[in-house]
Amino acid sequence: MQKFLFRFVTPMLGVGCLIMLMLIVTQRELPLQLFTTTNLQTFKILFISIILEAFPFILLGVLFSALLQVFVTDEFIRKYTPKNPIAGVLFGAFLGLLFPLCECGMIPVVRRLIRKGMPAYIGIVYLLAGPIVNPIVFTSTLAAFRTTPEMAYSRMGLAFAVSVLVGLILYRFMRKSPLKETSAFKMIGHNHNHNHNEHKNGKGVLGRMASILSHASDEFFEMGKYLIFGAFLTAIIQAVVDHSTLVTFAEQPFYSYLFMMAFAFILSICSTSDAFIASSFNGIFDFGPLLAFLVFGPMIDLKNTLMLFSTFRVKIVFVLIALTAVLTLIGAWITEVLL
Amino acid sequence: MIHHLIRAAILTGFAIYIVFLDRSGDMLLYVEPNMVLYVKISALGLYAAAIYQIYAAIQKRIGNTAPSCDCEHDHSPSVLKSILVYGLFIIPLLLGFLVPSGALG
Repeated sequence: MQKFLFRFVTPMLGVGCLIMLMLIVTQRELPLQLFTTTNLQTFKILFISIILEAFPFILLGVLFSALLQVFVTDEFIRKYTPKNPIAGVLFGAFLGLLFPLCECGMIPVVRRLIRKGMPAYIGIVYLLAGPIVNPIVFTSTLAAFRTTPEMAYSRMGLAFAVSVLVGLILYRFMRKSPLKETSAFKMIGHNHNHNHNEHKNGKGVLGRMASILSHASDEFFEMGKYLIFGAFLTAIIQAVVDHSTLVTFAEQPFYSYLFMMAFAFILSICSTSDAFIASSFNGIFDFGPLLAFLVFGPMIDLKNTLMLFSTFRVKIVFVLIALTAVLTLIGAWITEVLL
Repeated sequence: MIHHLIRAAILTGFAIYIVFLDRSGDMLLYVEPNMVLYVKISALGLYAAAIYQIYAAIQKRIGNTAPSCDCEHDHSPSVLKSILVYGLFIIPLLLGFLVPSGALG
């Protein structure tokens, strides 16, 4: 309890003081008009509609990933991994079609695959492409951007291109294993299969059903918290921040990309539901920045980076983030110019 | 066990909220018309998960730990952290049930 107080309350007080100071310096009143009923209504509607519309897709993703974790063994994937680098990179990029895991469930799976003998660069390509190039995400993007279906197609295309490029670059320059040596058994997600084989085999169909439901509902809460937090922030931003401020931001050609990418990084929403957040910015931001949001967010985001640091070597993580950011920026900009 | 019960309550809460929205006709305020069906179906999924959570709670109660696999997800990190996480899930429910709905401002 005391630790919690020191760790969180002091910084929060600090932030509060800074806001007060800013208000004093700029000689403003306390912004109480932010809490009007209209703002509250706007906030409520945006907040709840983002959550509700994302529900079906998050449930679908959770169910699928639970099915995978229970039924598909790593040996199966390893057996069919091609040896040729280009075929391998393409294989990694399309693996998401077969195994549509959401990025939240991705890192433990990829780490396990690499450790069990899949070439590291293929694993990383799957890590990048998997959360986007898959049928569930495609449908949810289509559903969110119904008037502009190009968004869904260019999202798939750009994600594919970026991940293949990153994979080829890594194949060319990466020599050592990207995994941390020390963290063998310490962290997130140890081997699921091992667990199931030990505990579940005796129970047959019922046991499997139970473990699917258990995974699914656990993961629902794991990912739901990011979704709700993301929806909360988005709704606050849209209800409170003046519309014209956002529009001026959106008109800056370069900064709007950076803004949307940084936003995607901080929000860390699941790729099955982020299209709904992006589509609520539709009309304020242009096609390009939204595309950058949709492609960069699932590949690299805050929670995902924390997990990457606990699994991969520091240098690799930085290279990966920088490469992905630059490629996405360029790619989204080119797409915007072309369309 | 308490975790399972809280989770079951939250899941049921969301499922009931979807039904409530549908019955009161406010659903279209929040959800695009062609998404309505999927949202309703997801209410079923939420119910199923809630029932499973209750089942898991009972299993734990009678001392049978089998159904939940204790891998990967830390079920009881710290009391404060779980209060924060569950609080996050309860916010939209409270907002939905308690704040009267109105048109977009």
